[in-house]
Amino acid sequence: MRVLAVEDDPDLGSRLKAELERHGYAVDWVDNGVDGQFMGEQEPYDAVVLDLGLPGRAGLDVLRNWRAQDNRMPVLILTARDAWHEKVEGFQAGADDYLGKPFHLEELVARLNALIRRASGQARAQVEVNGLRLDSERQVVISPDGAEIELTGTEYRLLRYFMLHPNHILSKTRLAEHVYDYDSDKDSNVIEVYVRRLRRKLGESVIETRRGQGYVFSSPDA
Amino acid sequence: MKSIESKLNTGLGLSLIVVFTLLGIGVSISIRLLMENHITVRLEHDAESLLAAVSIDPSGDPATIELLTDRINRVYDRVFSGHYFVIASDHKRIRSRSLWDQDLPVPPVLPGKVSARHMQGPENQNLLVRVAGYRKDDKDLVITVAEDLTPIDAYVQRLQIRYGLTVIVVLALLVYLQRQVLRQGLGPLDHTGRQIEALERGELERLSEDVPLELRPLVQQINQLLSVLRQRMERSRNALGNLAHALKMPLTLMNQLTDKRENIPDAGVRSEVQGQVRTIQTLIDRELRRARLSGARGSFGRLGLAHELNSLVEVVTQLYRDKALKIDLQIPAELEYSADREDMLELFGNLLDNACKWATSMVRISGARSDQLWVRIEDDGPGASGTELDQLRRRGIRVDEGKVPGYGLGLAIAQDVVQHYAGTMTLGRSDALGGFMVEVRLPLQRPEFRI
Repeated sequence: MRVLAVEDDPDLGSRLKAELERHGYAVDWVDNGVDGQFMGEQEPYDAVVLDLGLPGRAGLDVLRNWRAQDNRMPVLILTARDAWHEKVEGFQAGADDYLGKPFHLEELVARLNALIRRASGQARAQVEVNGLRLDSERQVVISPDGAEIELTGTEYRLLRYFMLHPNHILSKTRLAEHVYDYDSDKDSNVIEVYVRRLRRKLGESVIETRRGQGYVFSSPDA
Repeated sequence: MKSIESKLNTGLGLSLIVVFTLLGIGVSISIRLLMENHITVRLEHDAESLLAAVSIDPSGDPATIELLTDRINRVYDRVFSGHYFVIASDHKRIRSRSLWDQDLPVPPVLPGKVSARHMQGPENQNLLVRVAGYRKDDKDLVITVAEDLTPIDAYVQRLQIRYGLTVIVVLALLVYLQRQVLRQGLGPLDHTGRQIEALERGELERLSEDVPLELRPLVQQINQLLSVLRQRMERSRNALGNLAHALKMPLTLMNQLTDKRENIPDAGVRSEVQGQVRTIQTLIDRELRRARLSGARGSFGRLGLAHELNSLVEVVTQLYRDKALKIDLQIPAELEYSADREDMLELFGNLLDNACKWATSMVRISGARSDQLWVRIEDDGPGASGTELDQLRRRGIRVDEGKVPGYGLGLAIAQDVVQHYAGTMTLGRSDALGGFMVEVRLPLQRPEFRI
């Protein structure tokens, strides 16, 4: 899962990036509105954490511009401006959620997870497909027989993306875009390596290969 | 303070009375002088014809004088006709028949001299008397001719009465006209007055400067004052907002730091620090919100409550999407209230947020206006117990006490707004839904208006 964080405060921004990465997100952090809007337009993010008081371009304008371009990615506004008239304005500009500063990181992560889940059509609070259940807190996957299977950060992000988009043909490029942040070397061949590792941990049949197209995480019940 | 109108009316009335009186006196005197002048000229002619009618017989000793009566005006023959003459020589006085048994006692004058005077005549007539000395055929004669002025006095008096009546009518007419002119002239003041009332009700942002030249500086000054006040308000609001922003950032970082177990290994200390940070956070939050309210004084627009509440419902629907609450908004579409929009959103946003936080499946918002505006927000959550409600009512809502979990800060802020608008807030149990119920009542007219 790839998240864009637009936050001008350097302390909070770097902490946000670190903490979200710890919770299994690939995070791009920019500190101004102009770059923020550009990144949001160029990269396929799964969610955005957007501050409102930004240098360069106000957060609400960035959001309105995205929505005007029919960019529907989930946006969570994270701001100190949490008066109700500002919340109304934020939602009217197209926000999906609103969190006032000061905030607790757990709440931000929970809301971000919920946003991404809703965006991919998953109603349940926990991501659970084919008996596999993701524990976002500890970044492990729990198999149908209850065994906990440890995952690395990239493996976790990749598996979550598969599980949130079951029965979709996902190209290596698309997977790379959602699993790595902007600064990483997005070598799509690396995806092959990680898919192989996931198959080794979860079983060969979990992820199917469609030659020349990509991979499919099949699920009869989704 | 006397009204301008009555002041102007009194002034105009008095000055007109003085002018008309002086004019009346002047005209009376002039007419009288003119008449007297005219009469004097006639008396002179009469005297000259009398002189011509006197025949002197110089043979007699003393020389006898006689009047050829057929050559004098008949008016001198009618008794007390008001026209008299006396011709006096050294030892003879010829009196006109009209004098009957009376005489005109005048001191003689030398020939060639003339004198005129007023005197009392027969039957209290007011006579104008002309005495002239002549010399005819070496004989000195004094001819006194008099005419009664009573008819002229009566005429002047009649004139004065007529003049007076005309003056009264004209005066009344002028005062009436002035009133109309004043009303029309002061009309713009009324208009501006009504605009100021509209300004107070929040229907206007500034006064129209399309007023007479004399009023324009005043109106412009009022507008200037309004914009200065508005700017000042805006500035202090912005300053508070900036402060809020500035304070929230370090608090956020403190939160992140204290949330990490490895930063403060001692669980007791950690929860103590977390609690203190939370208290600071809450206090700052409330004080800043309250300060923002105090800055909210100004002219208010009319607020479409249904529209504003609906946008709040959309917000909480998003915020509590996972609960899939049914939010029942029963507000008449035409319901309006003049208040600051941000204040109202803060008030109802907090109450609605509380209701959604505790509701199981349903929140209802209802409201209407009669002699005041009332809005009720109910939920089907656990609600507050009787003792908790008692405590809230008795001691008021305090932020630092989480007696009703989660209701604290939101209710406190709502309470601040309600007090700011001189309204009341009632807490209780919802009859319809069984959960918490808050009813807000706000007066339509705020008792005092401060900017």
